[in-house]
Amino acid sequence: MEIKQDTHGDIAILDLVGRLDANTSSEFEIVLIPMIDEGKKKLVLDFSELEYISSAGLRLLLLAAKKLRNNKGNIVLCNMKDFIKEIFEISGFTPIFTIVDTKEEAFRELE
Amino acid sequence: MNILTLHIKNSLPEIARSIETFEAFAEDKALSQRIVYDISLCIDELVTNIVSYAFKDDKEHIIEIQFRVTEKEITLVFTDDGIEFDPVKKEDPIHLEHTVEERPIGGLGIYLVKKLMNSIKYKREDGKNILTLTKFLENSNKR
Repeated sequence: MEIKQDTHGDIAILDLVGRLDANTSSEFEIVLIPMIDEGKKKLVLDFSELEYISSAGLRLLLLAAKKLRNNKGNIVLCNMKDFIKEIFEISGFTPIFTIVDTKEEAFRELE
Repeated sequence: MNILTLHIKNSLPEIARSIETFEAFAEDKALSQRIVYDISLCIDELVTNIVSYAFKDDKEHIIEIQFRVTEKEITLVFTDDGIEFDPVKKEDPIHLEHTVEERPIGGLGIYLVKKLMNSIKYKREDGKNILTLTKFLENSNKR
């Protein structure tokens, strides 16, 4: 899985490309968790190129959300493909995460 | 009826092989993308669990996965000789009143399988765990 990084002001943007599963979630973890531990409070995850997510990926996102809550930070997910969004719904994750359609809406959520 | 039986070893790279094998098997069966995605996810979750938790020794074990497709449904049967574990009995980690702080981190994989498949049955026989999952193929775009 490729992770593209970008910023928009004080917002960190991570664009995930490919599959987020048990194999690749550790690659994502070593990027995501230190960012939060070092104090990053505003995060946008762009899922437009995410093809697959399994419980390992969801677990990592939940861990990130918990840590951010502790820091009074926030994470917004955008551009989810509909079958990925349905996995979030089935897992009961949609109330936990702010999920929007576009990156621009994500930035607005974090202002 | 179309049947494919696959034997994999209890190692992490074999998880990917089991998914790839299923996707190749599904290709000429005209299964919808959604169904293939859902079933691949179930295979991923269950095989990962078996490889990660079923065996307490350092030995190689064989896990059998059988795929059966008819016009109406697809059935998967997972057989392993690991420790006794009934995923059907495992408590759901989802409680609507849980907030982010309270939500437990684990247990999600099996919960997803239970929600994505139409039926899931477990039995323990001759020292083996046998898990049978069925998904109906009619109205395949609705979960």
